[in-house]
Amino acid sequence: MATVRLVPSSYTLSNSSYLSVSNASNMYDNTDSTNYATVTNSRTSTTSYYIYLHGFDFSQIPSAAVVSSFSVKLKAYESGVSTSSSYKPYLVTSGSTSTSTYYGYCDVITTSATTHTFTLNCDWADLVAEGNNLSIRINCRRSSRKTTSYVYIYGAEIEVNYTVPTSRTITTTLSGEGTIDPSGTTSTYDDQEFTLTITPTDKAASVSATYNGTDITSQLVAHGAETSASTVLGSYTLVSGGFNGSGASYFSGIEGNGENASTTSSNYYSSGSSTIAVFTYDMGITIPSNATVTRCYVNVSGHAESTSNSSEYMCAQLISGSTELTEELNFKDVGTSNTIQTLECTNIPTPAQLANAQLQCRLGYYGGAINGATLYVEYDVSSGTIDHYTYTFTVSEDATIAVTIGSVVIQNTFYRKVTESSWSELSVTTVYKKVNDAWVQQSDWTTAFDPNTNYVYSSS
Amino acid sequence: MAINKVEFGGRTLIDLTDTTATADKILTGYGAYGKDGVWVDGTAVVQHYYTGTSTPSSSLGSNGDIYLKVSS
Repeated sequence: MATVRLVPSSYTLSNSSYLSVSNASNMYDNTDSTNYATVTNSRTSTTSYYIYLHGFDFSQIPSAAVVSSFSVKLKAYESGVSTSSSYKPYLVTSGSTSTSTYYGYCDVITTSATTHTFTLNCDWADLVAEGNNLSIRINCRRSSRKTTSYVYIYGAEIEVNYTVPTSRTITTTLSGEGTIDPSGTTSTYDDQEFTLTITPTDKAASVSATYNGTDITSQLVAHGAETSASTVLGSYTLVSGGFNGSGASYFSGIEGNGENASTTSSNYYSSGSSTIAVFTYDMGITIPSNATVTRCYVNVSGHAESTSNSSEYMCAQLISGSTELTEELNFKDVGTSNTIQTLECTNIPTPAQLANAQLQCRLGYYGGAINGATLYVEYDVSSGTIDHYTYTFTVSEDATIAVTIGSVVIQNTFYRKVTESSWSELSVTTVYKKVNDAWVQQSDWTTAFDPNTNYVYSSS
Repeated sequence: MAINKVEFGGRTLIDLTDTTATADKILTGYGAYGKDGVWVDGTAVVQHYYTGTSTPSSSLGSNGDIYLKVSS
């Protein structure tokens, strides 16, 4: 295991008119430092002014490293600075003055040089994503107007413990007509995912492969030639009577026709009773039965009648039979203004489930208005013709993958008459026909030739 | 009525009765007079077919042509 201590390399002041820094380079050190930089607040006010320490060099950590732990520390002391816990140092995005969005914090700086360890509420990936914007924010606020405040910063660090996996070499070779990707030698590491793509020139060719001499042909995954990713719009505009369910007698009003909700209560769905009323809107749509749905979500437009009481609120959810396709939307969370909320399918529906999709709404004493709902589906459909193969594995050793693409089996024998009395046999492996200025491989040779057309041989 | 033979003074000036031109023997875009003296538009389509050992180039041939890839 390796350890690195990243230190700041730059700083920013929230107000350079009132804050100044001397011996700044002293704070570009870790918390072992015995020299400090001095931050002076010259404003005769108890206003918060900040110094941001940033520029932690995350590139010191190898890209393949697995981080096991990390910590953030600051060594400093103060004079004349407010020691209220409200003004403690935070780990933030550079320039941020928010105290509600942060990655961590530590205890307030005291009058004696102390190394403070931050309490963190983030993942390592969060810090890396911030990069140079990741900052330790120190408040230099005066404790009183007339007392100049100083913050003495010795240094700060992000200590990272990590391991680097063993490096590996994967060699891929090809025999036959086609391409492989990657081809040749690839450097990688243990636990990395490696995918080899094999694309034969002749789609009917046989494909086989070995991994360090062991046959892996059965583990090759075939992929179709054509896939389509389509977005299908299934929309439903709520209209009078456009629902079915229990408790209809409790409805005091009906919203509909995709218009914005009126603020008058008569246009709301509300039961006026503690009885929970349930009603559903049919939203089924039809997609190919062999489609693979990759994403499904419904946008619901509406708002709550009120959010100021604890009674049951109107909720909406996409269902199919007894299957809940999305989480439940509580209109109390939406508020009393009309907005569009997106309900993402946590259970990806099948084409059969989509055909029976419904928007189920439940409401109690206080309800809300729903103007409309729109269902979106993204799916893939394979043509069924094999286009290429892939082989994926987790790296754990050096390996050689040898791919063999075989010759296409001759499907038919062609003969060409070369003289009045002799025919020449042609060992044809593939038939192409030119269509729309491009040569297209023919899967059915028997239909490639037009019986009403005369064909003349030409040398190519 | 179409005329397929003209005789004058005992001499045959025009005789189409033994012509063998038919629509399927005349290329599309061309025409000729048939044996009955009626004009015939050609319907014959001619495409080319090629052979080779590699994938055909996009610049080779015209739409409707055939390419037979043979073993090398």
